[in-house]
Order: sequence, then C-alpha cells, then structure tokens
Amino acid sequence: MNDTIGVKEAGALKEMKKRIDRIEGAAGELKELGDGVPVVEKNVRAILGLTHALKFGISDLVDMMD
Amino acid sequence: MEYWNPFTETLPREKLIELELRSLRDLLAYAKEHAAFYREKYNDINPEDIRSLDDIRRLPFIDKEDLRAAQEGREPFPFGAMLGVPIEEVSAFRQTSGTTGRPVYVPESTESWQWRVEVWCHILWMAGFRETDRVFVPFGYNVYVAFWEGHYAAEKLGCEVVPGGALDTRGRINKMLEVKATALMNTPTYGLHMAESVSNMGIDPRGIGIKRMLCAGEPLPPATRTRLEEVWDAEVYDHIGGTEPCAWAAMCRERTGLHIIEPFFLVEVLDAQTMTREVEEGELGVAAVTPLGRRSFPLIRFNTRDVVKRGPDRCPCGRTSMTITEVTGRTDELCKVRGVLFTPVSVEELIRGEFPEIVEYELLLERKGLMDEITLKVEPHEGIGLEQRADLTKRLSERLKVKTNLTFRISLVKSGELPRYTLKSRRFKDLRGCRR
Repeated sequence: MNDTIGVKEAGALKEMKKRIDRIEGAAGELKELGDGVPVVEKNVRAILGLTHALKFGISDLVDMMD
Repeated sequence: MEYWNPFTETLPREKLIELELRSLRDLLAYAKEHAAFYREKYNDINPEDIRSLDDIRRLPFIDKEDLRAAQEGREPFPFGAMLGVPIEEVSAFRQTSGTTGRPVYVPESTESWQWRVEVWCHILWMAGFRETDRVFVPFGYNVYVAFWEGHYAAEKLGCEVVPGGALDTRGRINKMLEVKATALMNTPTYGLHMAESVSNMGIDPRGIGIKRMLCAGEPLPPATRTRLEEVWDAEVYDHIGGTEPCAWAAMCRERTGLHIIEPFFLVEVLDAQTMTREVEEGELGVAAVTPLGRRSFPLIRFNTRDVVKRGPDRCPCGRTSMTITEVTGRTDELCKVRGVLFTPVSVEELIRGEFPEIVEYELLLERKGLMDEITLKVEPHEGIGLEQRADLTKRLSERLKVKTNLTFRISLVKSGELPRYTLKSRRFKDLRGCRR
C-alpha cells in the first residue's frame, strides 16, 4: 500500500472500495431481476451513475495503490 | 471537513499524475471502442503506450472545429461520431453558444452527468458552500450548460437551492430578500448589475446577508472580482471551464488562483507558439484539457484556447493539485489593432479596477478608411456632473493609452443605454469584417 496515505486511511479506503463494488454488483443483479421493468431499470441506472462518481474518487485510488 | 475528497485532494503530485495516466489509458481504450471519431482518428494509437506525460504529447489535439466536423451530417443525430454511449442512454442535451460558428452538441448519460455534478461538488465545497447555505440562482437555465451543474451539485451538497430564472431583476432581488439567500451563483456582469439594482431600490447590497458568490459564464478578472466582493461584502469565487470539457479549475478559500480539479482532469498548460512544451510556473500558456471519467462524450486533449498563467503546485489550503493564477483571455480573442496586439480583458481590468464610477461599457472596433478605430462607450453612474464627465473621459483616455498602447475614442452615453447581460456578455464587437 502507498506510504503517502496512512495505514488507517488505506484500510478504510480498501473497505470502502469493497462496499462500492458490492453496491455495483447488487445494482447489476437488481437490474437483471427487474429486466424490462421501468421502475427498476431507471432507478438502477441512477444508482450506477452515482457509483461511477464513487469509483472515480475512491476505488480507482485503491486500484492504483495495490 | 475542509476537503470534499481528502484522499485525492491531498495526494502527492506524482501519485495524482499516475492516477490520471491510468484513467487516460482507460478512457482512450473506451473511446476507441465506442466512439467513431476515435476509431478513425486514433487508429494507430495503443492506449497501453501512454506511460508518461511525455507520451501524451504524441496524441493529437481536438478543437472545436474537429467536434463540429464529427457531428455535422453524421449519425446518430445530432451528436454524430463523438457519441460514446448508445443514443438511448443520453439523458441530457447541452450545446455550446455557437459564438464562433455552428454549435457543438454535448450528450450526457446519467453516469456522465453525475460525473460532471461531482466535479461541481468539488468546486462548491472548495468555495465554502455547505448544507446551511440557501443558494439563489438568478438565471434562466436553458440549452446551455451554465448553472445546471451548479444547481445539481448544490442540491447534492445539501444546500437549499432557489432557482430565480423566470423573473426580472427586480423580481429576483425581491425573491432573494424574501428567502434570505446566503449565496449566489451568477455571471460577474449580472452580479454587478444586481448590486446596482439593489442600490437603486434604496438597499445596501452589503447588508442583505450574501456570504459567498460563485461566478460563471464569463471571465472574471481580479479587478472585477474585487469590485464584486466590495459591493456585496461577500467572498467571490471564480472557476474556468466550458460546455465541452466541463469546469476544470476553481478557487479555494485562499482565492489566490484556481486549482485544477484533479484527478478528474488532466490539464496541460502549453507554450502557445509550439504547443509542445509545458510552461513553467509564472509563464503563460494555452490549456489543453482531458476530462477523464466522462464516457458519453469522450474528449482527449481538448484545446480550450484559454490562455492561463501557471501557478505553483503548493497552496496553503493543502491541496496538491496544479494551479493557475490567472486566466488572461482566449487565443481567439487576441487581435491586432493598428499593428498592436490587443485583448478586450485589459479594458475590463482597467475599468473594474480603477473606474468605479463606470456602470457599463462597450467596445467597438471598426475599419474607417484604411485605419482601425476603437471606440469605448461608457455609461457612468446617474447624476455625474458635466465637469466630472470631462475628467472621466480624460483620465480614461490616458490610462487606456498606457495600458494598451492604443488611442481610444471615448463616448459617454446616457444611463441605461447600454445592454445588461445575464450570460456571456458581448461588450466587445469587432465590426471590421475579418479578424487579423
């Protein structure tokens, strides 16, 4: 792990990335389950839009440090 | 918390660059697969070959003309070969103003729009906008991107956003007073105009509780920013950006320059002559901007034509992003008048910095016979006497000569004669037929 980010912060970042991955995974599953149902499809799209912002600010950083 | 994202905003520069290079490779690979423009233009470029900032210089620039050509007559309408997602995923339409030609149409998917809003969350947070703010936006949102992102981002921050679009200036002021707004988002011109209108209603704008103002839509020279801070007794923040790349740099609470919003953007400030050498701190250069996470409209090395001065990589605020200390104009606004290089921003700086008695102005550049003639129409405050008018003309003429090395014809006009602008002021009119 990168020495410019403290061990505690690095640990928290990794855990956050795991949760972001889980949200993304769960959203994908929800989309499959509700395939063709507008209330599911459109709300999942909104969730994934927000997840993208989190991946950009958190997950990508963890990927680089690993 | 001081930072919107403390992990990225305080990351050492070398790590930021590493992160941006990774994002650039991903974007390049994505763009080649999903956007016809990049399949055609980047055929011989392998994303994995981009390993350093020097490697980026091998990538071609994209300018507004490229975007127009990639859209005109190309499917899917109207985004053409620039579209990076299936057309059914586009959920927002924006376009450029078309000031310099055919407008560029900019598609946003839900994901890409959220990416833009996230960039604006950084900008507003950095400027001190918080959940406790009631933000008034005295602007009619429309097909242009101006203020849409700010509105959505302020909501995401938890501010209370009050749109003031469908009102005239007096109506906006009344609404602003009624709701006890604490923050404003407006163009610099309109910020000055509103202050003037508030004063004309017999109210001191400094006493109505506006704590901060985020300016958009027009350049904000330091003198104009200072004047806005004085008339509103508020912190006034600038940013720079455009419809195509999004806003890519903004001020922190220090208000001494603008931070590049890294790692969302990879920004190169390049020597204007060669466009190959990255300028040093204190030098002027042209900004080439790559937004790194926006897939609906991938842009790589977009030549903004914005001329900026590169600042230090350190700031007392603790952010490690690259900074710029000045936005001096645009390469396409520079023109030659009687053989002298001239930029309209120099007049704006002079008027806002040294002539508080001038409310509004307009610059006309005309060809008279074989000579260029430049006229400055100025509208002074109401009630200014004959003697003061003569003195104003004389002082203005002298200071303009010193500042620009040009002789101006000065014309004082009646109060209310010049237009007031809400977006993209058109104070400079080159009527010579063609630019030299």
